[in-house]
Amino acid sequence: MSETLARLLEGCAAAPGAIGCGVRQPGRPSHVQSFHKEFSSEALEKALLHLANANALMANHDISGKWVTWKFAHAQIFATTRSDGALFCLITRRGAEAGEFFESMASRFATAT
Amino acid sequence: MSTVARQYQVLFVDDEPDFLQAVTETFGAMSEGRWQMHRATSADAALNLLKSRKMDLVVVDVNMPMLDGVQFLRILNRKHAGIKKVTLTGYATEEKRSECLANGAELFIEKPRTAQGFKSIFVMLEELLTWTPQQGFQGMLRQVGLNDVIQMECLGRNSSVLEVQNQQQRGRIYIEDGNIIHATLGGEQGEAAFQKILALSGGAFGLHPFESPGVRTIEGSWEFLLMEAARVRDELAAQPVEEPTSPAPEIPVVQEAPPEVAVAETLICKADGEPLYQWQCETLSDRQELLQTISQQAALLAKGLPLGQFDRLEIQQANGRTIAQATPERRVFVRVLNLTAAP
Repeated sequence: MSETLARLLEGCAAAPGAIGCGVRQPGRPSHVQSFHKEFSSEALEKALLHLANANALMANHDISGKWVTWKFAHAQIFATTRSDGALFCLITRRGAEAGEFFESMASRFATAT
Repeated sequence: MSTVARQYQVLFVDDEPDFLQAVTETFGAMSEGRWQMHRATSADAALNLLKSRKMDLVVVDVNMPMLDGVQFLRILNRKHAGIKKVTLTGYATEEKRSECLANGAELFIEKPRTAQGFKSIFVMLEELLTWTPQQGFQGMLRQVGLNDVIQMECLGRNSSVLEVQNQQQRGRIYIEDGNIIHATLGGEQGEAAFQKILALSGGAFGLHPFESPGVRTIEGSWEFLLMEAARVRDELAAQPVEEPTSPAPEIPVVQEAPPEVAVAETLICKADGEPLYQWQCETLSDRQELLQTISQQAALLAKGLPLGQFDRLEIQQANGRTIAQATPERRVFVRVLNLTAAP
């Protein structure tokens, strides 16, 4: 993983209500950071895979966006996918106002190599 | 002139033959001939019976092998929507209760273990058999949420007054020609009152004919108001629980002008995917499939992480926003265009 992406993931610790984050690039190992003991790295890696699959399935229905938010009772998952298929996600506590934070991280991710 | 009392047709579905025999014999005797009892030891057998006999009430065991009670309820809703349905279980959980009630069960009852238990359940079932549901929209309010009713009223360009009440407060939301024009809660009015009403954690609500409030305190689009209310609810849910002696938290009110938005399409379905309402969905089956896909993917995500129950997926697009909600009660798809977005 590049230093830029590593810094991006480390920076996610500052997100309001941060729980975890990760980057998945096609054909490369995934990288995750957990900020909560109940969210293991293994589980976060699986979540990245599910998010990538979900993204592909939604694209089949002509639904794609700059970024998406999966809202659950206890947490929310922000995710964005680049045109090269790389995916970046941030998990925060539900209700934490992390939208703007994610949007700014997503724009950094869009150009990170 | 004497009248002949109507005999109700009651079907019990349970994979335990001993229980089935006990319950049908007991209730048959208690009804003194008013109920004609039918039995089936599987969902298949019950569906076959329903092809030839019209039933008034079906009582289903939740935990059956192969096709369980909840799946059976879904089939009943599709093929025999008019039948009253009750679920029985030996192992009641809150999750199962919600699932059964969301899938059309009128009652969710624990299996009786004593003579008194049989008697209580008999009284409940007889009450249900003789109960006639109210016609029209009021009759379905008990199965939909406050947000859904507001959405349906606004999308249908209706005029009505939605009255909401809990033990402490009473609020009113005035909808005129599909626009939310006024809201009151206690001494408050306008958007603050509207958001506080939607943030209430419990209570009852009813829809009444429109009457003019004499003032207009709300100008924003209903989609924006509902989104804001959802955001306020999220914020309140995220706040730590206050001590009982603390004053009630102030709910923030958005002062900035809302963006101009327009709903491009809407679909509201039951939990099993059956459409309740759709507006401008170009391909209904595609949207239904999409909601199903989102629900499945959310389940996969929640399987490995302690995320809690899935609520909704929000998709931020260049020209607007799409929201797909999938709860145990229903699925909702709304695509909103931001008219002020750059082309």
